[in-house]
Amino acid sequence: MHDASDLLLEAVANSAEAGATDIRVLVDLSGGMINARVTDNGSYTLLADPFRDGSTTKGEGRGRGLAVINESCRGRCRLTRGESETVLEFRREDDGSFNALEEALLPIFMAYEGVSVIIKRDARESRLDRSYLEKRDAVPDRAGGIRRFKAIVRGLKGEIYG
Amino acid sequence: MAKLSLSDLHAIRDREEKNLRKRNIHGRDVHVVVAMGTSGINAGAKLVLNTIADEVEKAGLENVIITQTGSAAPNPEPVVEVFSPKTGLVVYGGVDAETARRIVSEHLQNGKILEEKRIELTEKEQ
Repeated sequence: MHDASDLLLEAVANSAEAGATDIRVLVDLSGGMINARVTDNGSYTLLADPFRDGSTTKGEGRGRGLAVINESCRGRCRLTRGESETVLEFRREDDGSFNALEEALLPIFMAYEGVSVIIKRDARESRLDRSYLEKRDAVPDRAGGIRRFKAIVRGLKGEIYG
Repeated sequence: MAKLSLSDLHAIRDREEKNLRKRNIHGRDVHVVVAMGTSGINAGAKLVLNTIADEVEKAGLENVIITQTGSAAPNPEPVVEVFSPKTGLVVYGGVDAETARRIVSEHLQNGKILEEKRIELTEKEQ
């Protein structure tokens, strides 16, 4: 069973699979709900219902991520395609999975280049992006980088949780 | 998230082995790959990935690099692959947090393969 942070991982992976080089994530944790928006510049094939299970452009047995998001959010999701970017939004109850922010963000920043994440909680917000981590040798895919990444995310968490 | 076929995984393996050889130059000769497809995440792959990252950091294993790949279904997930010059490619299935810790302490640190968790990758029937 996916928690809310797992859904974000699915969404970012979906963007990366579409060839996106710019993936912008906004997670708003206000009011007991999680509102997530993932904007990317990937290339997609239009489908009548991209959230339907089995609806995929990625071949047989592939690409269940959007269906899982839809199911977990009980339909409270939307995919909007513009000329140069695609926006996936979903909303569900806050299950506390982003409280473990380091664990939630580590798989995303470990694997995907071009990712930036803004976390909002009530009136506070903080931002982290992969290029910042790269400059500080803090990509969490090796010893040292993992430690530096966690220190940065702990600081970010302090900013938004007070 | 995509589910990779066995041929996809072989292609990734070939690529990673090439990368591994490149990384040898820089002293990172062990590569851990966690399958983070939809089915893997559902089975707890995120916890496994975080546990491996924590343990690699704690042990200060400077020669290890950790990455992700897509689904390894229909194999028992979470699936973790370890490439190292000493033991070659070893694939583990049904990995939980405790097994993840053992992969780091026994396999990565001491070169001992966890035979009871070792699997051979199989391809999904079409």
